[in-house]
Amino acid sequence: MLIAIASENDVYDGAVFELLLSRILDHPVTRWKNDMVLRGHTAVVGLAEAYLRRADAVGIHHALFVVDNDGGSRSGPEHEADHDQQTEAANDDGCRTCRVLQAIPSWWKDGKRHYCVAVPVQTLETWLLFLRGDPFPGEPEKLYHRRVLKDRFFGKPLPPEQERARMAIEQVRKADALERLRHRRSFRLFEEQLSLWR
Amino acid sequence: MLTSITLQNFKSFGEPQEVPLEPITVLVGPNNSGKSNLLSLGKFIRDCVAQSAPLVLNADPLLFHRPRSGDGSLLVAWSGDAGLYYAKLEADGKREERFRRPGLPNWKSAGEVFGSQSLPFLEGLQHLTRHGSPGGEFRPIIAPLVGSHDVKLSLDALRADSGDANAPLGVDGSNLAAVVNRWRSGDPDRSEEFENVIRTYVPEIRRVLAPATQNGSSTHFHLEFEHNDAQKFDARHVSDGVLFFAGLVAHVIDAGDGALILMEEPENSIHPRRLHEVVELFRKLVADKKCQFIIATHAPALLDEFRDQPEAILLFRRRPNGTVVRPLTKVPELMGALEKTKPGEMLASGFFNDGF
Repeated sequence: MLIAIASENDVYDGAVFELLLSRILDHPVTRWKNDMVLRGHTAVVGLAEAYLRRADAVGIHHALFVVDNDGGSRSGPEHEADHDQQTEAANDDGCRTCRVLQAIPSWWKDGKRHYCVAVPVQTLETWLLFLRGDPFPGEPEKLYHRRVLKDRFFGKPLPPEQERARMAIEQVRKADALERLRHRRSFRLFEEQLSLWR
Repeated sequence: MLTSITLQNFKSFGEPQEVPLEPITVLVGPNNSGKSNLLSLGKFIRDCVAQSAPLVLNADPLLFHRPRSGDGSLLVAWSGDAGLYYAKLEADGKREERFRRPGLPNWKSAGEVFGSQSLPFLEGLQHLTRHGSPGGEFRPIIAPLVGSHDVKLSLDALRADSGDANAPLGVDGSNLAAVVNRWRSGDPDRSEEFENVIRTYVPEIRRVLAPATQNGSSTHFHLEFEHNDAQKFDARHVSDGVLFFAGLVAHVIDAGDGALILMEEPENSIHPRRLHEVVELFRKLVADKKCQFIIATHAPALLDEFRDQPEAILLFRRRPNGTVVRPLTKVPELMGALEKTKPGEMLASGFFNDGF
């Protein structure tokens, strides 16, 4: 299955989510290789339609948008099923899942194509630190700063992206990774959307 | 690795400024704010070692900040994994030069190390670089700056043929063809590393050649970039971005393991997407070869690569009494804003020009 994974860094986030999708769907997944990166949720909101047009043009019908929450739950809410997408999307500090969902054009949502929005809270490294078994002072989601999370997972100085990807994939490959990640609400929200992909 | 440099009355630096350093440090600030003056410290130290400090000081009347700040003395100091170095030249000509190794409480003066009480300014540096001189235990302290490597590329220099088979790679990228020719003929490790990096980041290119052309009694070398379809483009016809990228790669490979690389605006002519790859290359060299980079930039896209390492970003500003340097992490309102926006946006919006 060829999937468009729109993320900030294809070598790192793209590779991690490719593996996560393969494991969740229990089906080999290959990510679409292209030269586009969508740096953060504002870029996703602005460029989602153009990105999907290009994916559609090469016959891709599954798209995943990956955006970190970046400490957003301190100023904006985590996603809830009863969120009003338009209201959240109109607010810069609104729910990022809603903002990205709102940016996906209606023609992609017509039933023939599939989409998913992954917003790890607070960042992908929250999931990875949790998988690695790092101690958190309280709830993992209460550690907000993305740079602190990245420093803790990768150490300093920040290794090159190939090494970052290797470190991340090492965690995601663990036999019990999905089972453990399901303890994280933001992961469950991501996984639930994929039920329509099977 | 150097962890800080302190300058006083050195070029645009008036009042003493301690500049903290990371494995990769990025300098941002308006034109004429002092970024290049910090980068010029490497050349100053190398010149002092190659000639002598009094000669270098006499040759550059603008080396001292005007008007002199503080006690009027010129101060050059740095610290690093290998220890601390401190050199001070007072307005009345009195001078001090000291070394301290890590973990040891006491400074050792150059006079004590070399058995002379009347060494000229910075003479200890020069002594230490001489084979068999005493004080060898202090040599690692000065090694990063004495062996530092400047990079300020110019397209004209990169495009020009090279006429000297043994010429070193110029700061501006001159003699790149001769260097590539030497690597290809006698340094297969560097040659392979150079081509591998080029191939990784510019996949349409499979080889970089530098054939020699005989013209009468002289030999010239010129660069050729061979594409996967076997077409060759010489340096005059390859894109600016590819040529600049090749120049950057050649410099960092030429610098060797553990080198301190002082780089001016590596973003010139390079596509913003490829800047990510340039920074990743630097990260790889830090991880694999313990290189250290100090980079002056005006490129938001390059700065965004350090969004999660704000300690790597230093803000420069010129005030009447000289250059002021502040780590981004010491400006609370900008650190607060960094939770919602990227440093490149702050740079482009002028938020780094004022307020500190």
